[in-house]
Amino acid sequence: MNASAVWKNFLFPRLTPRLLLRMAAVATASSLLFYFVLVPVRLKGRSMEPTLRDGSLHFIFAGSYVFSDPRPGDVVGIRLAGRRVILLKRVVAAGGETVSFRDGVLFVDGKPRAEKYPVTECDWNYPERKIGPGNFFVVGDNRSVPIEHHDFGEVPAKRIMGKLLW
Amino acid sequence: MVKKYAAVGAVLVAVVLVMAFYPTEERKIRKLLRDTAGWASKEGGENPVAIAARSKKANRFFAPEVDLAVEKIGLERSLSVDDVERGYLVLMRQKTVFKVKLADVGIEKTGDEAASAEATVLVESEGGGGEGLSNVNEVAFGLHKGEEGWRISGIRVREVLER
Repeated sequence: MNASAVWKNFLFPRLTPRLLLRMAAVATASSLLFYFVLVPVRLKGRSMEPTLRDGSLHFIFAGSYVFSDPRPGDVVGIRLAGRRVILLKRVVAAGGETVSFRDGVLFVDGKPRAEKYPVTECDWNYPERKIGPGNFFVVGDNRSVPIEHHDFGEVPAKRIMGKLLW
Repeated sequence: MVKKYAAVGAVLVAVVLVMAFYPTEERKIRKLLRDTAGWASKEGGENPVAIAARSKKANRFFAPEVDLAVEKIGLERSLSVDDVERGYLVLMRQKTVFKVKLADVGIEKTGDEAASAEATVLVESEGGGGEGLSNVNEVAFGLHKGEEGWRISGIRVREVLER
């Protein structure tokens, strides 16, 4: 078989039942993979800047928290009514801990927490709040906006879909 | 043989079309929610007369009494259709652009003439003395079926991230 015939056979194969079955299997496996395991998300908004840029494409691994809980520093996907629109936020505290902001500094259990990820400077003040058991406290990295315009707060674990892979 | 396959194919296509387009109660509710989002949206450049005329269509979407709750600010109150019309006019006069989109709509029948729905509601707006705003909320709807069809009788904006 010459090169052009190989290409022609590769690009326009004969539609045999075996090929159709393989195509259906690949399509089904891809759909299941990208719906239940690796959920693709396109970011809309600037609440996670400078870490994540508006319009960037990412994947959430839905199996991240099957055997473990979210940890402070994880960027997680938060489900609303379904899976088409989700929130991306960073976990900063877990159930049982208290969290507050004083002049822009994050305090957990009364001590300032060094955040080892890029966040914008702010002057937020937020009173101490004890996180309920099984819940997590999430905040965006872009804290340059006034606190009343930023979506953050306590979220139950059941709403957390998984961890952002990249 | 070919005729046999063609007949089976035609029957399959017909079944798929009926399943896709038959106006079930769920599809009627879905359409109501979609139409309501369209009614509540404004692209800009519409004159006040057209907006006033559109405000009068509120009774096509809402029941005579609508229970409104916004968990984030602790608001709970009952609105009449007149209240909805007035609120609509105030909002549309303030905003140059107001877009409402629904995603992840889930509907559950709770009785012959009652249903509930959940959706993610995306709101983008410009004007009104502030910067452009983009907002995402989870909203639960209560729905009732009357003589004129399904109407929204309850709106609860849930607080996903509790402060």
